[in-house]
Order: sequence, then structure tokens, then C-alpha cells
Amino acid sequence: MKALMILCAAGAAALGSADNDSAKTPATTNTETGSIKGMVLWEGDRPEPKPALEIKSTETQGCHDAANMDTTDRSLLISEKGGVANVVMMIEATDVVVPDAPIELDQVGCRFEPRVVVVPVGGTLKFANSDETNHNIHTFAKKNQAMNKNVAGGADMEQMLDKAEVINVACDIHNWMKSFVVVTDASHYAVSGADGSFQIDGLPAGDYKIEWWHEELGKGKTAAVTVTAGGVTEFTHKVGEAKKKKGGGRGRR
Amino acid sequence: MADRGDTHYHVPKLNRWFAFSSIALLVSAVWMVLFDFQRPWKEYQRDFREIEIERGKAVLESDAAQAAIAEAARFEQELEATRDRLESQGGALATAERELFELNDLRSKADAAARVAKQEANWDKFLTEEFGVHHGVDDEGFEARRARVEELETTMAARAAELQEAEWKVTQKTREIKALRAEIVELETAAKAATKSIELVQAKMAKIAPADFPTKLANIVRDDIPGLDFVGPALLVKKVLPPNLTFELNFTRKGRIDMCQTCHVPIDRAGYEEEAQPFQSHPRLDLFLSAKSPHPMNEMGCTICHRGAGEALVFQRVDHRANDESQAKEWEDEYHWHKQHYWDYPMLSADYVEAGCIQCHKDTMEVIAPEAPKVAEGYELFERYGCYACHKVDWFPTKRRPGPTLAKILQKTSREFINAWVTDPKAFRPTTWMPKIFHLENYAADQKIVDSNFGTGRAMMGDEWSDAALRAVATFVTNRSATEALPEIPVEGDALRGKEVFTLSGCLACHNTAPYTEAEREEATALADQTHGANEHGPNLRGVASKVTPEWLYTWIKDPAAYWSETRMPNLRLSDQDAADIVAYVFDDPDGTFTETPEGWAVGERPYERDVLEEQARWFWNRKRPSELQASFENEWADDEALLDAVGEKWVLNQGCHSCHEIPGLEGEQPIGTELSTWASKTVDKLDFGFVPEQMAKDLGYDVTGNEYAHFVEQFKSYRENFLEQKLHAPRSFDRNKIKNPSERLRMPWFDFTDDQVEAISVFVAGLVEDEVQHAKMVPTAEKLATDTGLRVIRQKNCEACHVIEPGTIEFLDDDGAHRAVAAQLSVFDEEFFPPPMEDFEGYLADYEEYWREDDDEFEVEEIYAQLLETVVDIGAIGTPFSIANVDSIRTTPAWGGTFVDVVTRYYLDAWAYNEETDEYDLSKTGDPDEEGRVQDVDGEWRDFSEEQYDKVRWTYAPPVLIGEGAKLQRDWFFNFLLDPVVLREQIRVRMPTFNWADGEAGAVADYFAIRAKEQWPQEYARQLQMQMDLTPEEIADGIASLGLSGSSPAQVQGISDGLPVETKAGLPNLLAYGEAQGFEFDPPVNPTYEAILPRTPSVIADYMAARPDFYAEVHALATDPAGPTCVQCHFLNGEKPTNEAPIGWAPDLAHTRERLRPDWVRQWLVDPLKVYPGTTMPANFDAELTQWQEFYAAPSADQIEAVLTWLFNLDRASLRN
Repeated sequence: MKALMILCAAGAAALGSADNDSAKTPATTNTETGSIKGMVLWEGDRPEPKPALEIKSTETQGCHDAANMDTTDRSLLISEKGGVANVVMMIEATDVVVPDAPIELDQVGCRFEPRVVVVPVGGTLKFANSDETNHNIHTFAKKNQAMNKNVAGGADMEQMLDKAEVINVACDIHNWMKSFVVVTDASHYAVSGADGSFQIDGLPAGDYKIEWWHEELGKGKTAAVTVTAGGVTEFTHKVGEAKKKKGGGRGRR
Repeated sequence: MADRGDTHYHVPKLNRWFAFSSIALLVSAVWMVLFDFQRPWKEYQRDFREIEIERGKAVLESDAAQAAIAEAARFEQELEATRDRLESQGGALATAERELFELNDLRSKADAAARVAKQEANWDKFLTEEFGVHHGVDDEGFEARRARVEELETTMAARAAELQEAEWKVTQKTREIKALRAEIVELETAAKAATKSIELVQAKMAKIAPADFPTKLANIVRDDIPGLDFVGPALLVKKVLPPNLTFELNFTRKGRIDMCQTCHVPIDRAGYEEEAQPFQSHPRLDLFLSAKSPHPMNEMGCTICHRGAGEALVFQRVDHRANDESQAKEWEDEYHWHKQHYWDYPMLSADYVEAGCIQCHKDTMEVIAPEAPKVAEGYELFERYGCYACHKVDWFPTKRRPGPTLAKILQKTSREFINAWVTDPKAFRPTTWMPKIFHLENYAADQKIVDSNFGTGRAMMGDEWSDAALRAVATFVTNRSATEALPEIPVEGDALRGKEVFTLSGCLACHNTAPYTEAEREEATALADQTHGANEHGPNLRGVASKVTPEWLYTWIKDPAAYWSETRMPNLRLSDQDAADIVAYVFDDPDGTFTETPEGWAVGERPYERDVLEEQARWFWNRKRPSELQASFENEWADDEALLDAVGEKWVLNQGCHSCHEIPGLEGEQPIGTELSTWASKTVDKLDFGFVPEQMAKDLGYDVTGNEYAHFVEQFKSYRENFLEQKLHAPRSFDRNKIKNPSERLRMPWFDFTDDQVEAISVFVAGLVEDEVQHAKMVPTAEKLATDTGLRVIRQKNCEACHVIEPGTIEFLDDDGAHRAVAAQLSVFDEEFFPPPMEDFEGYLADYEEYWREDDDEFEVEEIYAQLLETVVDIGAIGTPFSIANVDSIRTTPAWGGTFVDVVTRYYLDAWAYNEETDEYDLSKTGDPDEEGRVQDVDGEWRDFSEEQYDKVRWTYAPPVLIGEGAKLQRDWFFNFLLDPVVLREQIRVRMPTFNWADGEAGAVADYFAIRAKEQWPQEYARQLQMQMDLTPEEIADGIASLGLSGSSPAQVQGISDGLPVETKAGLPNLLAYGEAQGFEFDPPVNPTYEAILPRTPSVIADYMAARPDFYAEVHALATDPAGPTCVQCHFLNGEKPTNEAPIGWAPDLAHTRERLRPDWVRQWLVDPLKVYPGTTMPANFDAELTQWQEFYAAPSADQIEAVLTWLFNLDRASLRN
């Protein structure tokens, strides 16, 4: 009940469209802070690229620009030069500043855009639907309130997320649609782009180990990176086949 | 008198004797009175009084009490001071009080005067009126009279005014005094309130430990002086005469009088749990003795459950029962305790106390099972091992023959197998319920059974005797079997696919293939090799391919009842192909599960000697003349086969095979066991203990001539429990050391029960007494009976294997340190796929932490998340996630039912399971012909589900959850569905089987769920009221009181929330009245017998049609148009497939709604499905915060829901379609 009220309040407060860049670097840029400009690169033999998703044309009715639908399997994307996309890099450096505007997760062409979205704890996520067809937004949240709502084409809805966790998001109507919402306690974060690059600005000077997460490769911490005031530190993080299997406790026999 | 000398006696001597005898008589009289007066129970009561005084002192000396007393004293002081102050203020109060006294006096006088004036005036008025009538009003006297009346009336008015004035003065003065006294009154009240909490203790202490001498003295007179104890003694014999409870005494029924509480003083009071006996509280006051419990002291007493002699007031005579050896020893030393010889029904020991439940609870054994686990286990074992088949228990609800039919046994297996199986069933299947019958101790290898041929022939030994009997039994049984061959399997099976069908069709719901040795079991990882109760319902299938024929297996799994009409195995409606695939898998047996047999198991016929058979024939036909028998041996029995067959039949009847198994020709034969209906009322001297106690005493090293030996034997023989346990452990042991001919030997087979099983069954049998209570005390309501039958059928049909019936519970300490227990499920941990198991959460947590500590030494799970499966006022509705910070405090109780869900979800999600040892993906787990680890969907496609979420697979492919099912389903649809299931969820591989229901069983299951929903409703109402209106129980109780309703307290409101029956019954009407007054709306409770489908009523439809002539078409478009919420994306509609092609997106046909679902439930479901089934893939289509689909049906979300609801319930009405 209380959560719902907060959610409503947050929803009412969050007017205007989300600006992702401002959300990523809440701290102000001045000469006291520095930046990390980095790459996430694949190490070792490259796995075969995954085959495209098999989607029948009968199931794409109402998807935006269905004829040119992107059917790439985005669960592990490695660029030609070895950059790994959609790796979340997170640093707990300062107090979390919750962005005013909600962070958007769109559904367009029957795909979630982006594949991975980061929300700081307490932030609001806006589920948009830019398709003509309806999508049911199904979050398999374990710590935040799970949600499963049918949202009409063009409509949107919001949810405040106040517990750190990785939430699987799916649309059951279009079974191939999957995305991840990383709700994090980190104050500074970035998601690696298609070429594997990422930049984190506004960090107070100091040594940081960056926490990273990727939907297939697992999670971990990088080597220490030194950030100097007013400087830009170049940094390369290498990832490979997941070292730690998911479900290691006793989830799988 | 002087001695006159003429008597034969000597007077002084006589006087001395007389004096002496007088004194002796006096002394003995005094002694008698004292002895009679000093009863042991008085000592107990005095001891208890000491305890009470100690406790009272402790209370009064406690800091809180001392503080209260000090505070009261402080108030007293202040009071004194205030009085003094008022005094010193010129005695204003005293003056005022004196004035009030005077004013009161004046008021009384004024009152009297007013009365007199009134009387005079009235009387005069009457006389004047009378005068007027007699003489006429024109008479001259009349006017004068009238004037006088007026004068008197004026006086009367004046007096009344004076009285008023006087009263006003009194009131004024009283107010003045009250104002002056206000301070004093306040202090007096405060002083009283300060000691309120200890008031009762103080009062009690004043009684039992008086401080003043006269009361002390009175107490002594009352209790300690013989002969005066009639003047209201405090020490009293406490009697309970429970109405209508009797026991048998010398062929008459005598009312029970239980005096137990005379010594066990606080037995019905809480707070004495830690005291030593006899001063302990009953451990379960919620169930027994307290006034609110279902067994109040005044109604039940003690001995009806505990047995023992209730009227005895001496420890030994009560026939107390020690709980163990050491206690017995202690009692022997302290009280010279031993069996009370003159009492037939000794008290039950703690281990056996649940035996007392049965006499009243025959019809409600399933209902009481959670509170009486041991006797319930005994009852279940009695059923499972088929005890009732040989031993009649007249009320026992299960009637079918427990063993499979033997009428067509040769279609199933061979004569050789039967030989070996009957010889030692456990050698083939250690978990079988079939007992061992031959080669037992009274037919031991070294034991001479008989000197054959009337003592003239050779001695025959136990083993050859047994072997010949076994051979004969197998011969006879197979000779009686039908022999026509089964048809060939019509299609060729695919073993690879068969494994998948075997796993997903439901076989593993009731069966397992767990290895039999502990070591192998620990190694076993396959789903089929794990055991958990539900999948031990049917036999373990290990080695089954070595036992049965493929054709038999095929026909059996296709239609079990065709082979055995009483089987519990349901019909899974397998297709020919599915059945053939399973058979192919079982006989192909890639892992050796179904063909390998335990070490030492060998199939083959038993050897026999003809002369042994002939000797057995002589005993079986002992009425025949020897010459006659000899002729038979030479003629019709000349062939060994014929002799084996004839002797076999006798053995079958003798050992009672026909009691458990259907054998053609023997259907009408009587079972062989003793009837046990009232066994425990049989006196113990009627039981033949043989020489077992003597042998035991000897084995213990007691000297045969000594007292210890005799004492041991006597004690052992005094209790029926000893007989039962011995009989169950070693059924033939009472033959030991006895000289018996073959026809006299004991016949009960050996079941190899564990100690726990023996005790449980013994407890059950020890409870089978003559019915003396049932109809006087225990008349279960129809709903209770239906619940009991429902629970029994759910257990017997193993519904709980596939379906979760009740949620599990998580107990923890919350952030305030308070103990909480809520119905909930644990959420999936980070980086995991499956939720933690509720049966071993701690082990799971330890493994998880250990795994992640490989990366991070300090890794620790700091918070556990779970999801509510019930409404909890301060946490939220069903589906609300909550965190538990105190991880160590978590205790989990698994859900009731649903173990097969694990098989399904693991099969789908684990198809790609990674094997760390081989560093490979274990593809052999599925039947995918391409070995890619995919699972075949119902549409025939092979799909990879490894990336799916647990919840999605669980809610799509696993059998449905039945929590709250009674509130969901229309009872009659449920009943019909059980009788003849329809496919509701096309995507699920496992199908609801067609069961073999006995009369009333299916109805009882449907009733059970409806009744459960009805019972749970008040609790849900109370919780929702508190949660939605944000009210505390205190506020609600106050609110009820302000409505002018009485009898409700916060505790009662809380009790309704907690589901306590007494509080609910008493307090629900007030709560409902309050809810209504507050405008709180809540769907009505389930009525198990009556159903109103309101959305189908003509007025409802007419209203819609009047407002929207195209109502039906509009809602139809809303539900089906691709631009709308599109129900038909997932749901079938009138048999038409959903637009989603993959079965993972399928849902039940909407056309079932009308007959199947309750409208109230459908409404809740449409509003927020996750609050009904947390995890379901059904979305909220008409979210209150989103106003959508206006182009189809322009209305607020709630109205859209009502419209869809009405449409769903009228789908069949063609007349509504335009």
C-alpha cells in the first residue's frame, strides 16, 4: 500500500521525457572529479555468433516496422574488434542521486530498447510502448513488486524501484522479447555500447574497482582504476566465458 | 464398686482392663480420624498452596509490583496532604458538607410539604367534583368549594416551587463539594489504578496467605483440624463429572468421575508449564481443558482420553503409567508403584496418549491428523499395509483389497517370479508393502514341524515345509489365473521419447526409481531417483522390466482398472504411441534402472519333496480317514501338479492370501485375522503372550526363581501395548518355546516394520475401544464429515503429488524481534534459477554461500526475500515481496503438495544442465533426437526452455495450484471434472488423470475445497478490512462498541484475523455489521451447496443491453481485436487455438468460464492476477491506473472488467450476438 503511494507520487513528480545521459552521471562536472573512459573486450576464442531469433511473421502483427524487424539475438554481442556490448559497469562512489526524470525502457518493433537498462535505487522506470500492438510488461522481480500489465500500443506506465536487483523483463505475448533492468546501489554507472566502449564521468579522485554485470557472462569486479581530479583514465576490462555458472548453489542438479 | 467376692471376675483387674481398652480404643479412634484426615492429596494441595504463595510473593515483590505499590502509597500520601490542605484552608469542604447536610434536610422537609399540599388539593378536588355530580354545579355550595380547591392548588404550586428551590440549592452545593473534592477523587482513582494489575494477586494472597491472625486461625480450623473440615475447607477433592461419559464396570455402565485435578491442581490453567508434576499445566491448553478449547474440562474430564482410574486419589490406585524405564524405577522407589491389578484400563503412557483420540474421532481421523500425528500415522500404515484386509475394523473407511488382483497374474508375470516373490518380496523390492509369509521363525530351518504320518514317518523341518508350501501356493495361484494372451502392442515404441513421456506424463508423481542402498541414493541425481513421500505412493519401479511382460505393461498403463478394478492407479489417457514409448523406454532401459535387480535376487521355482506335501495334506484334511487320503494320493493327487494345486489352495486360505488379493473362486472366503474393532477393550488377561516375557526376563539376566523375574513378567503381561509391539515386530514370536502342531501355529506374516512404524500402528490399535462416546459427545457436522472424506481421498488419490493444496509457511523474527509465521514462498536467489527448497532451506543457504565464497571470502546472504501467499495486514496482499533481515531466524515448512512441479520445472529448465564433472552439457536428460537438450512441446516441436524464467515454466507447464480452489471453482463443475476430466490447459504434458472413484469420493473432494474456502473467508475479511481501511483491532473493537453492539474485543477481532474458530463464531456478526457500516465491500463467502451466477441473470444482461445495444459485439471486439488487450492471444475461445503459436503462451478456453468459475473469483482475477497467483503469466489487462482500450469500450477500467465478466459468463448466448 505504502509502496503504491510512493509509486504514485513518483509517477506524478516525474514529468517530461527522460534524458538518459543526465541520468547516468548525476554528479556535476568540475575539475575536482575525473572520468573513466573504458572498453570491455573479449578475451580468448570467440564463440560462434548466436543464430538470429526465429520469429514467425504471423506473430509480428502490430510490431512497428515488422517487415524490417531486427531479429538479432542480443544475449551476447561481440563487435568485430572484440568489444562486448551491454556490460553494466557500476561504481559506488558517492551517495546515489536519483534522477528526476524516469528512465525509459521502450518497446519498439517488438523488441525492448535498450536491451539492458540501469536504474539507481529509488529511481522510476517508465515502460513505453511505441508499437501499435499491445505488450504485456512482465517483470520477474524478486525484491521489488513483480508486475504483469497489458499495455496498449502508444501507452506507457511507470514503476518506482527501490530494491537493488537484476530484473528480467519479458513480454509473454511476444515470447522472444526479453530485457534486463539492473537496479543498482551504485552512484556512477554506464552500459557498454555496441563497440564495447563506456564512459563514467564525475568520479571523485581515487582508486575504484568497477563492479560489472552481463546477462550471460555473469558478474564480478575489475582491477583497480585510478581516477585523478580533472583527468580521464583509460581502462580496458577483459571478459571471457563465464567463470562462475549461474545456479551454482543448488539451483541446478 | 467393691468386689463382693461372688463373681468369677476380679473387678479391679477388670477395671484396669477396661481402662486400658478404653484408652486403646480412644487412641485408635484418634489415630483413625487422623489417618483418615491426612490424605496424600491434601499434601499435594498444601504443596501447591506453597507454590502459589511463592509465586504471589514473587509477583508482589517484583519491581513492577513494588513500583505500583510505591506509587499507590505516594498517591495515598498526597491524598492525606490534600485533605490536610483543604482542612487548613478554613475547612471550606467541611463547612460545605455541613451545609449540604442542612440543605438536604430542608429539601426533605420541602418535599414532604409539597406532597401533603398535593394530596390535600387532589382530595378536595375529587370531593368538589363529586359534589357537582350529586348536587349539580349550580348548587350554591359548589362555588365555595371550588374556590377552596383553587386556594389549595395555589398552595400546592407554592410548595412545589419551594421544593424546586431546595433541590436546586442541594445540586449547587453538591457541585461545590465535588469541585472541592475533585483533587481527592482524582488521587483516590489514581491510587486504585496503580495497583489494578496486582489487585487479583493481592486478593488471592489475602486468601491463601493472610496476614491477619483471625483469618490465619480460621484457615487452620478449616483445613487442619479433623472433624471441622465441613466448615468450608480450602483443601477440597475436585471432581469432574463429564456428562454422558461412562465406562464399563462389571457389565454395567457407570458414569465417569474424574478427580485428577485434586492433585493436578493447575492442569487447566496456563502458566505452570515449568512446574514439576503434579503441578504442571496441560501442554496443549489450546486443544484441551480450557473453556475455549474443543475439549473443555467440564465436558471431557481426563480419563476418557488418558484412561486410568479417575476416582482414585492415591498415586498407586490411579494406575498411573510411567513414560519410560527410568521413570518407572523412580516411581517404584518412591510410591511402590506397579500395575494396579484391579483396573483393566491403565493410563496410557505419553507415547500412546493419542490412542485416546480414536474413540471419538473415527469419522474425523484425517481432520485431527495434524494435531495427532502418531495415531494418524498408525491409521495410515494400517491402511497402506492392508492390515484392515485381515483384521476387520468395523468403521474403517477403506474397503478395497489392498493387494493387486491375481485373476490374470500370468499375463503380468511368471510362475517362477511368483515363487521367488512370495518367498521374500523384499529381496526384489525392499520398499514393498507385501509381507514375508513363509520361512519365518515358527517354521525355521532347524525347527521340527512334525513327525510325519501320525508320528510314524520322518521328522519334517521348517525349511522344507515352507518351500513346499511356497511351491504349492504359486502353483495354485497361477492355475487360477486367466491365461489368454494379451494383444501385441499396436505401434512401435521410441525409447528415447519414452523417457520424456515417462517423466512428463505424471508417472513420477506417484512412482520413483530410487536405489535401495543409502550409498547409491546419495549418488543418485536423476529426478526419478529422489524420494519425497508423494512419489512413494506407488511401488518403486526399479527392476520392473524383469518382472512384467511388455504387453502387460502396455495394457496396464493404458487402462489400469481393466486389469485390476480396485487399483488406485488412475488412467492417464495415454495415446497408443505414448504408452508404447514408455514401454520401449522401460524395456530398452538405457540406465539399467528397470532390468537390474538387487543382489541375491533369483527367479525360480522352490524345491519340494512329495512326502512333505502329502504330510501337509494330512494336516489340512485331518477329518479324512488315513486310508481315504492314501487313496487320494494314489489317484487324483498322484500327479505332483495336482497335489501342489490342492495343497496350494489350502495354504492360500490358511495364510490368508485371499484377504488381500482377489483370487478367482475365493472371493467369498473370510479373512484370517482377529477382528480389531474393539480389541483394546479386551482385558489383557485374554491375550496369549506365550513365553516371550519369560524369555525376555531370562535374557535380561534375572534369576528364574527371583522376584525381579516374576515382577518383570507380570509387568510385561499387564499392558496390551507390549503385546501389540511384540506382535508387530515378530508376529510369530508367541509360538516360541511352545509345542504346537502345524494347524495351531500363528499365521500373521512379517512386515519388517521399523520401530517407529510398530509404535504408530500399536497406538492406533490401542485406541480401538468399545464405542462409548461417539454419539453422546461427537456428532460431526456434515461439513466436517465431508472435509474428512475429502482429505482422505486427496491422500489416497495422491492429489497432493501434483497439486499444491496449501501454501508453505515461513517463520522468522522481524525487525522488531517479534516471531512471525506467514504463508509465503521463498524468492529465487540472485544468479539462481529455482527458488530455494522449503524443506531444506538452511542446507541450501549454506551451499549457496559456500559457492560464492569461492570468489569472495566474506560473501554472506544478508537478506532473504519471500513472497506472501496470504494477506498479512502489516505486510501486504498476496504476492507482496518482503525481506527478512534476520536470516538465521528463518524456519520453513514446505507447502502441502506439488512435489511433481519440481520434476516438470527441472525437466524443462534443466534440459541443458551443465555437468561440472564432465564439463559438458548433459544432453541425455531429454528425449531430443538431435541431442540438443530440447524438450518436446505439446505441438510436437522441440524447444529450448533453458532461458525461461522459473515462474513462467511453473505456471505454464506444471500442474495447477489448488490454494483457494474452492473460491475459484463452481462446486458442481469441479465434481463433474473429477469424474470426467476435460483438457483445460492444452499446453501441459501431464494430464489430469481419470480416477477410479468410489461412491461419494469425487463429491467429497469438491466439497472439501468449497468448505475450506468458506472457512477461510472470515479470516480474509478481517484482514482485508484492517488493511484496506487501515484499522487496528482496537479501533475496530471501539467502532463495534460505538455501533451499540456488545461482546467484541480487540483480541476477538485479532482472533478472527488469525482464523480461530471460537472467536470467529462469536465475533463475525459484529465484524460484518461494522464493515457494512464503514462501507467496506468484500465478495461474499463461498456457499458450498448453492451457487448463484449473477452475471447470467436476465436483469443484469438487460441493463447492459439497454445502455449499449451492441454490448456483446463491443466486448467481443475488446476481447478479440488484435489492437485490444486480445484475450485470444493466449486463451482458447470455443475450441479455437490462441493466436500465439507457441504453447508456452497458451491458456484455458474462455468458454469454460460459465460453468467452471465463480464470478467473484473471476473479478479478482481480472483486476490483478498476480494477487491471486503470484508468478502467473496472466497480465492485468484493465489496470486501474491505466485507462485503455477506450476505442472498444469507452468506460473506466472497473466497468470494463464488469463488462468482460458479463461477456465471459454469457459466451454461449447466441441471442446476445448481433
